[in-house]
Amino acid sequence: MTNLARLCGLMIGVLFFAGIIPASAAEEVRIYTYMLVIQEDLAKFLSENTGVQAKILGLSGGELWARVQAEKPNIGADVLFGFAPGPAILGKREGLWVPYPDAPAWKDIHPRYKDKDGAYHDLGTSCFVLVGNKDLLAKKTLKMPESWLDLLDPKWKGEIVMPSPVTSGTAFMINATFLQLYGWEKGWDFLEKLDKNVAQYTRSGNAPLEHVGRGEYILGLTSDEKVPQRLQQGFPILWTAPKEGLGYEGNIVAIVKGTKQLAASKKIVDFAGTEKFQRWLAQFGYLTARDAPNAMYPSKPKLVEYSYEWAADNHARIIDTWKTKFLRK
Amino acid sequence: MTTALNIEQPAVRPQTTGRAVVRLLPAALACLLVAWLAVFIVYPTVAVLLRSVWTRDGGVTLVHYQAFFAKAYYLRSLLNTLILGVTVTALCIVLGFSVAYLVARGPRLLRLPLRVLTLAPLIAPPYLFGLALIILAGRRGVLAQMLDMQIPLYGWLGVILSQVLSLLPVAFLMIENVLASLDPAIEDSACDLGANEPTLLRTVILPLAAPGLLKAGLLTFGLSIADFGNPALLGGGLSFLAPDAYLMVTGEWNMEMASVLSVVLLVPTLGIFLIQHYWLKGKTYTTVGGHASAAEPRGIGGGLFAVLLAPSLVFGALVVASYGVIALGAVTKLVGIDNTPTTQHFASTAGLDAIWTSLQVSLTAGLVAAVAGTGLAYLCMRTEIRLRGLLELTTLVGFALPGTVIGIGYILAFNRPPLLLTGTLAILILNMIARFLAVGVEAGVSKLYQIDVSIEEASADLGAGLLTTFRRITLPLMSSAFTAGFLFTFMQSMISLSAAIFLVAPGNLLASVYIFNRARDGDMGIACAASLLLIMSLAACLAGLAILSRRTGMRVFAAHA
Repeated sequence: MTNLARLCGLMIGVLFFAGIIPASAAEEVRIYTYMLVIQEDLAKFLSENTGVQAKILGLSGGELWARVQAEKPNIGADVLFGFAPGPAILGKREGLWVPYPDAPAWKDIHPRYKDKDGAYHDLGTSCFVLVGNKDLLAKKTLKMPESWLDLLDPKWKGEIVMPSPVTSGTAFMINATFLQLYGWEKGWDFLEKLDKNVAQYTRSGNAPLEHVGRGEYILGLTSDEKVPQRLQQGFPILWTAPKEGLGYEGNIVAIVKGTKQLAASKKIVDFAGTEKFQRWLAQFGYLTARDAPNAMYPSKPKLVEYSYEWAADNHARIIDTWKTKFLRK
Repeated sequence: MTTALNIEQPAVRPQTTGRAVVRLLPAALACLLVAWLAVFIVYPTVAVLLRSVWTRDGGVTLVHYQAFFAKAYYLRSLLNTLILGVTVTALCIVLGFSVAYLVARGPRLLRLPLRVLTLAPLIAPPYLFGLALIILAGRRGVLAQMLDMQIPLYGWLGVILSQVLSLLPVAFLMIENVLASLDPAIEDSACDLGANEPTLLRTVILPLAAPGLLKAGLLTFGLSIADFGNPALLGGGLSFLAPDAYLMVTGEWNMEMASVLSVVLLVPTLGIFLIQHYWLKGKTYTTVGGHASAAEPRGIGGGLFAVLLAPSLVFGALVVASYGVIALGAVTKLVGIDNTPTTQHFASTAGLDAIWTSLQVSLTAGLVAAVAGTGLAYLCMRTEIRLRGLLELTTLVGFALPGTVIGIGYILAFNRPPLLLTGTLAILILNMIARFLAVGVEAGVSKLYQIDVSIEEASADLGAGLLTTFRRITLPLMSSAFTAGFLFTFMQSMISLSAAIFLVAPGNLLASVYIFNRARDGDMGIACAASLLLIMSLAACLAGLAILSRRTGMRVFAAHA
C-alpha cells in the first residue's frame, strides 16, 4: 500500500504545485492589447497602480480583432486595452462594449479622444513612419526619401519592408492612409507600384524596424512604437516624416460586454485617463490624449487627413482587396 | 498472438475477487476513458471536418473546397508542402543513415559525441533552428558579414535546412534501432564470401534495413508537412499549408477556409498513418535471435567512412553553431552586429512567467497522460473490454494529427457551452494529453506483451484480488512504460507550438508560443534569452529525473521497447 499511497501523494503534490487546484482569485482582469512593445511594462504598471491583477495577451491588430469576432459572445478578455479605432466603431455598432461615459479621470480630456456615448476611450495616437538604415544608406550613397512617392523609385527594389494588413493593425493604417491620401483608385495604384519594391510583408507592425535596424533591408514602413527605444539602444536608424504627413491610428480602450469583472475593468479604464498614466505612456513616444513630454516627437508632427469612420466602413473591403492583389495572386 | 489469448480467456479470473465493485471497476474506467477520447480527440477532429463542408444555415456545401482548388495560390501551397516534405525526408534518411551507421559501426571514440550531437535538437523547440539560422545566415547574419555575401536563406534553403536540423533526431533514432537489430554475423558471412563494402551495403544492409528506413521516412514526412514554425519564420514569399491555416485563423478567423486547409493537410497524414498501421505492421526484419550474437559489428573502411563522416560533421557543426548563436544572442545586445555583452534580454519577467506556465502545463499533462496511457493499455490487454483496436486507433489519431489541425479543432469545439474551455489552462493541458497519450499507451501495450499473464494469474491464484494484483504485480512491471509516457508528453508539451498557439490566453502564455511571437516580432535577443532559459529548465528537469531514478532505482530512462 505504501508505494501506491506515496505515488498518489506525489501526484497530488505535483498537481498542487502545478496550480491546477486554483488559489483564491484576486481581482483579475484579462486584457488583449496590440501595444506589443510595451505589453509587459503595461501589465506591470496597471497592476501596480490599480490594485487589479492585469493579465495581458499581446496580439497584432488584425489578430486581435479576428479573435474578438470569433470568440463573441464569449470573448476571452474583460478589457481591450489598445486596439484600433475602426474595430472600436464596428464593435460599438454591434453592442460589444460596456459604455463608461462618466469615467472621472477622463472628464477633462478633449472630446476627440472619447466616444460621445462613452463606449470607448482613446489613449492617444500612434503613427507610422519611414525608417532607414544609416550605414546601408551611407554605403550605397543614398538619401532618405522626402516624399512617399520617392519610394516608387526602382532603386529601392527589394530593399523595402512593410507589414501585412492581414495580421498587422499598423499595416491596415498604412494602407488606409494612402487610400485616403490619394483616393481609392490612385491609392491602390500607388500600393501596386510600391509592391514591386517591397521585399517582404511582415506579420507585425514593428518587425520592419527590426529588419532595418539589423541592416537586412534599407527602408521600412513601420510603427513608431519602438523607434525611441531602438534609437536609445544605439541602432543605426534614421526616421523621417515624409512631407505629405504621417498616417495615424488611435489606441482605444473598451470594456467588453459580458465581463464578470466590471468594477475592476472600470478601474483600469479610469486609470488610463489619469495624468500619471498618460505621462508614462508618452515616454514611449505615444502622442497621448493629455499633453505630456514625448520621447519621439518634440512637437506634434504633420499628420494626413484621416477619418476613423471611413477606415471602419471600409475595413473588410481594404483587407480583401489587399489580399487579392498582393497575397493570393 | 497474445491478442487472441486475451479474448479467449480472461486474464484475471473474476471468481477470485467476488466483489461486484471490483468487477465493475475496469468497465467503468473503460467507459470513462472512451468518453474522454470521444470528447477530446474525436469531437474536435469531426468539428474540423464538418466546418469545412457546412454552410451557416446547416446545409452541406463544397464551395470552400472549390475555392481551394480554383485558386493557384492554395494549390501552390499544397505543392510546396509536398515538395518540402519529400526533400526533407530524403535528406533526413540519407543523413540519418550516415550518422546511425557511423554510430553503430564507426570508431568507438566517435560514437558517443556523434550520438549526443544528433539527439541534441530534441530538447529545443523545433523552430529554434529557424531562429538560429536567421541570426547565423540571414541577410545580415554572422556568416553573411564574414563572407560579405548574401545567402538566400528566406525561402527553400532556410526552410529545408531548419527542418532537417530539427527532424533528424527522429529519423536517426528509428534507423539506429533498425541497424542495431541486424545480426553482424550475416555481414561477416557476406564478407567471407568475398563481398566488398559497397556490395555489402547495397545487397545486404540496405535491403534488410529498407522497411525500417521506409517507416522512418514516413514519420519524417508527416512531421515535416505538419511543421509550422520553421516555414512561418523562414518561408519568405513561399506559402505552405500549415502556416497558411494558422494565418487563416489568427489573421482572418476564416474558420471555413482554415478547416479546408486542415483537411487537405490531413489527407497525406492519414495516408501515412494507414500505411504504417496496416501495411507496414510487422514488416521489420529482425535478425537478432533469442540468444545474443557474439560477433562485434564490423568496422568501416576508409573510403566509406569519409563519405559518411563528411555530411555528419556538417550537420554536427550546424547544431553546435545553432545552439551557439542562440546562447550568444541571449547575452549580447544584437549578436553579429553589436556584440556588447548585456543581461538586458533576461530582464523581462514575461518570459519567466511563460516558462513557469509551460512547466505547470507539461508536468500535469505528462502525469495524466502517463497514468491514463498505461491504464488504457492495461484495460486493453488484460480485461475483457472488446474495444481494444478502436481505443488504440483513437489515441494514435490524436498523435498523428498535425498540431495545427487539432488546435483549430479545439477552438471550434470548445469555444461555446457546454464545454466552454477556451482561455483556461485546462484546455492547454487537455490538448497536450490528447496529442501525446498514444506514447504511454503504446509503451504500456508493448510492455504488457512482454509480461506473461501467468504471473498475474499466479498472484490471483494465491488469493490476491484484482486491485492487489494490479498494485503489487502489474504496476511495478509497467513503471518503465509509465515513465516513457510521462517523459515524452512532458518534453513535447514543453516545446510544441503548433496547437498551443491557438489556445493561449491572457495569463496563460506558454514559453514556446512566447518565444515564437518574440522571434516573429523581431525581438531576437529576448527570443534567444527565453529559448536558453527554456532549454536549461528542460535540461534541469531531465537531470532531476535522472537523479531521482538513480536514488530510487526506478528505470526512468530505460528503453521503452
